[in-house]
Amino acid sequence: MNFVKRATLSLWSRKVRTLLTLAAFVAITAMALAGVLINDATARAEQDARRSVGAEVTLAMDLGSLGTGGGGFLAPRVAAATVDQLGALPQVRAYSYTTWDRVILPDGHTLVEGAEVDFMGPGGTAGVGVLDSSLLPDFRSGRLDLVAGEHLTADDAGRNHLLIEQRLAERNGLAVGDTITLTGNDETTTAEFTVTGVYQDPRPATDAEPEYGVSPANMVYSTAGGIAALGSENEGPLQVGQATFLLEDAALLAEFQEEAERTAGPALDGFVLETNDRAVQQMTGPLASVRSVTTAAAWLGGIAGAAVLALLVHLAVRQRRTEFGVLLALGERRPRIIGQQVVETLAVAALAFGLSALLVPALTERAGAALLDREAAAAERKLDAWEPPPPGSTGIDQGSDPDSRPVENADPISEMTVALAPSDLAVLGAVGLGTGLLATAVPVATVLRLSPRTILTKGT
Amino acid sequence: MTSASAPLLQLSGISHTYTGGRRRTTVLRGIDHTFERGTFTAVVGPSGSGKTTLLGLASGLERPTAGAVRFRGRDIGELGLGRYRSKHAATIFQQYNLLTYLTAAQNVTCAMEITGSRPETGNRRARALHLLETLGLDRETATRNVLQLSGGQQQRVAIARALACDVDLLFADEPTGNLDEATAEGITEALRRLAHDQGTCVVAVTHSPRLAAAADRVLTLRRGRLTEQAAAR
Repeated sequence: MNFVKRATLSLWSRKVRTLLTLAAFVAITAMALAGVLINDATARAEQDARRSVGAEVTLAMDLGSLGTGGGGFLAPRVAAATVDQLGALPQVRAYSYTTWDRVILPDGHTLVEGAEVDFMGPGGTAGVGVLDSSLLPDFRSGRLDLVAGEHLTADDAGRNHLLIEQRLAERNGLAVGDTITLTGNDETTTAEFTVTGVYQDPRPATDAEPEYGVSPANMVYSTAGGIAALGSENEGPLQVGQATFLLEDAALLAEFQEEAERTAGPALDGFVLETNDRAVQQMTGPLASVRSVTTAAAWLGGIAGAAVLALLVHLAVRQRRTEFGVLLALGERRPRIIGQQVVETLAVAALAFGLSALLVPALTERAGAALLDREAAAAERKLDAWEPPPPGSTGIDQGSDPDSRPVENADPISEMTVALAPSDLAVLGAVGLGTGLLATAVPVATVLRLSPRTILTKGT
Repeated sequence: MTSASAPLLQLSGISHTYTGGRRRTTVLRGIDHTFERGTFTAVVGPSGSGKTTLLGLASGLERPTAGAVRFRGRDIGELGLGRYRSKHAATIFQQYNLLTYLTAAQNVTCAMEITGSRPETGNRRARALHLLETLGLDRETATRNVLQLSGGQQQRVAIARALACDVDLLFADEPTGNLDEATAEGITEALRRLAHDQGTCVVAVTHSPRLAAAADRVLTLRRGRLTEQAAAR
């Protein structure tokens, strides 16, 4: 009778202890597997969310390193050529930059009546110069909708093209193909622009556009060069105030930031590259909550299960001291005695492993779905409850953070798919094997250090 | 001394001391004795005189704190206590010490497997059943778990286990202690035959005058010293 057969007979004859050990093992492996599965599922869902949203890096003014000149703040500018260099990096899928200035409509044209119409003076509104209007966040999110004409693209860079809001177009009888002469902030420089697109902004005209303080109905978008041509600093290379880079993959964020800083060098002084993953965070917030809860539960359950298992094995070893002494007295080799214990533990662990692999994925799917559903509903309620600050206010005084504005088309994720991968089984196997071997071999080896007579005379 | 001319088992200047915390108890002092093959020796003496310790040292269950136990002229420590126990020495314990998750027959075949003992027929189970039967345990009893057997039956399983191992030395600690008179008589006779017919060296610790009387030699221990070595009547 070899030690494997002895192990089998031992397990069979000690059914209650075997079942208790099995239960402890199932608890450990199930908790560990559930934790691994939830982690994997949430990570996959998060990755999918990042892919669907895309990764966005914004080159914006570094408020922490603002310089002063003549007693006032000078907004830093960066050469459009530098931005073009960064846009050509391999991590970048698309990019755009913006610059803005006050523009004044010509006589005979009027602004839509709304918020702060006098903010920019008579006929004055915000003109935003862009490289690619389709990449503006509001167009990407779908809030702004191009209803006629074409977007401004890099191909229009050398031309004075213009996108205007539908209400401004209707008020002034403008349509795609019409031309309009705008005056710059210095109220003397003028340039003729062709309307190449009309877009729709659903916000009331009485609201203030948060960034520029004018009515959304009066916002005009032009090629960056066109806006620059209206400025008093229209000599020299084109300078821009902000740029946005959409990356091929969210995983490339750090790589892009590193390479961009190396490529541009001091040209980026006064700027900071910020990753804008608000949409991803909004979508994946519930996933993170579920993951943290299940990870904590898995650790707690796993540790408690391991403690119970260690106690069971320890008690079993104490009860089996005499058996070890007898086997030693018969001349059995120590490695085979340890082998018998290990086989017994592994047999139970394998059974628990199989049970867990069979049952846990389905249970985890249900439990994970219920948890995620609850977290997603809570996140939705929070987003629905968000109120924009009153017109003309940043909202800070009212305790409202404008940056917490919900991102559109980025609903919190409420579904995930649990799938058992070979790597999960490997993790589970390693956890079970490690715990089992440690809990078995250490106490058995401790007993086997003794002489058989010592074990037999002090065995019980 | 060559192994061919050396005595089967030799105890040379054996002393043994147990240490428990600061307390040291010497249970054997300067034991010298030689055991030859084909002899049946009884070890007697009052409780606490060191009989079981002597048996434990001679059977290789532990090492003496002083002196040497030599098997065919070679220190059993050098030979390896585990190897000595599995190939040359078997022990019948006073407390039976059976494997409680096995049947009576499995206990016997398990010991045969460990010691590498292989009967002439090649069938360990058949040999185990035969041995048990000769000790009064029928086939039905032999295939029951040992926990379902009486003390006397367990004692016989322990004896069968030792007899099955085909060893040079058989040590027995009170082998007839829990047996009725008739069975005890049978066991005593079996041990005698094992020594005289098969050439095994049998050493039995006992309080039984009948068993001692059946032995070839009787060793008496008192307070850890061998006080008398006498041929039995």
